[in-house]
Amino acid sequence: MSPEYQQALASLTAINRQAVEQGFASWAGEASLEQVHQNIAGETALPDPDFQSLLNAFADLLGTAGGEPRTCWENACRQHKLRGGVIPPDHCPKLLGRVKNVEEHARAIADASGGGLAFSFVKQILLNPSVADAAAYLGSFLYAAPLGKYNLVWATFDDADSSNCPFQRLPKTRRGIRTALGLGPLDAEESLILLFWDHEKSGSPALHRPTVADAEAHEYYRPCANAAHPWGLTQPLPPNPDGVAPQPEVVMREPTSKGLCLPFQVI
Amino acid sequence: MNVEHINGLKHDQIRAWLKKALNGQETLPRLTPDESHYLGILRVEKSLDPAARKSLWDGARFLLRQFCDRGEGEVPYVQELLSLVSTLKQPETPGMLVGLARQFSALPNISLEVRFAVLGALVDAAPQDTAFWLEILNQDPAKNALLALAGVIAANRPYDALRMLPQMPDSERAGHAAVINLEIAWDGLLTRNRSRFVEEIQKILDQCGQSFAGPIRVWAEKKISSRPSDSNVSLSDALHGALGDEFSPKTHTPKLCLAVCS
Repeated sequence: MSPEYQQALASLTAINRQAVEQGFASWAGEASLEQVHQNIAGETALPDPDFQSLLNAFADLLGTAGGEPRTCWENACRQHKLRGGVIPPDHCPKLLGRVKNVEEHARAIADASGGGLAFSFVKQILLNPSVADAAAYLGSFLYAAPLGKYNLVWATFDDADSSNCPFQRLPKTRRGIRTALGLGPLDAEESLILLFWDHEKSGSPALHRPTVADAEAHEYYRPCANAAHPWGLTQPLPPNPDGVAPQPEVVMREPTSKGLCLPFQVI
Repeated sequence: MNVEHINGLKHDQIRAWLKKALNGQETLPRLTPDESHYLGILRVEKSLDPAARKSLWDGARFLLRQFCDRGEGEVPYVQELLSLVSTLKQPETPGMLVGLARQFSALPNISLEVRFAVLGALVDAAPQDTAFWLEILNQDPAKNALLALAGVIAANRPYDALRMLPQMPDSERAGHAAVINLEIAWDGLLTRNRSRFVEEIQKILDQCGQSFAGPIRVWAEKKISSRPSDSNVSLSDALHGALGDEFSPKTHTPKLCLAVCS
């Protein structure tokens, strides 16, 4: 357990502490939620008042709503988004990147087209170079599609030179990218789209170090053990045959897609 | 909730689980924290035993019928449900969606997002005939035109699509969307028939709004100027030649590749 978690837990009233501990205990036996509990217990990035507030909100929701603990946890998290430290504006990376399922982004483009494009056609263009003549016309729709969902975007960058494409130094395979960024499962037939963008041209939203509250019940998040680190770090998935180092990780409010860099890559 | 647990649930419990999962209230295997719920559901679906999978499919059909009866539901939930059912491609899905789409005019409270999601799912799920898409176009030409165009192209009726162009909204953005649709249609034609298709498009552009026609004119000129030799007949062309130009609905086969967008 991190000192930050221990301190937050110790600050709760006896009733709330009991509620929180019972809530987490109810996750025993479900591997993904057990991992979420471990992540919470290892969190170092939440300032003390926010960590206490998060746990109190969880306890209150468990008590008043009498709800299912996972849902209560997620609702408590949604009241505590973007509370991790902020990277000073003059130290923000120039280019940021993220990975999405290509189907997810095709739907985002189709939805943003306001009835202009069908999902399957967009997906076909993203996946198929033989229709590349149409790709130029996709531009205005690409710049209208959100980079994330639920108004929060997770991103990585090259911490050695943030003007580099964030994926330049990463493995070039789907498995390698998943490993490096510590992403969740992907079926064999699914493809990934690697998107990167100019932070300034996309509106320069504040870049925060991620916390368990940003991750909600996503089991693949891992808290960074160093409380003083300016950003989060992914935990590459085992067995990590290439020995890829943990990658920088930040969260932000949904930026505009105006700074999206082309070409993008689909793997 | 793990797969073994879902396998142990009763039929109605799986339907209840599915509804909660579509609303984001269940733990799902996600690539990223912000991924759509239906993608996680599809990953779970592949791991279920046959009985549980059948219950999940039945549940999806039940929830779709429930939605199609009145066209009501929160937009995010409806979008997740329609994304799921258009991927599962159950035979009953198109009929239910067609029934709802035909009632759009009688359902003034149905949101534009839901309307687009229904029409988009119909384009993706199963080809409908040109008469249906013309009916949808005439319901609300300003809003429905481009998805109706896509629907006709998805049904592999490129010349029917071409004749719809004069009814498209007169904006450059609509022109860009139409180019994407026409490119898909062009891509599905025999190499030797592509030039004629583009020439027919060029002829009809004078009947279209000029803002709309602009991007299509540029695209068509590029296609004509980069016309490949007709003597290079591919295997795909040979199959088309043997089976006819509109021999089957389009299928979209993902290819692992580097998509270069310039």
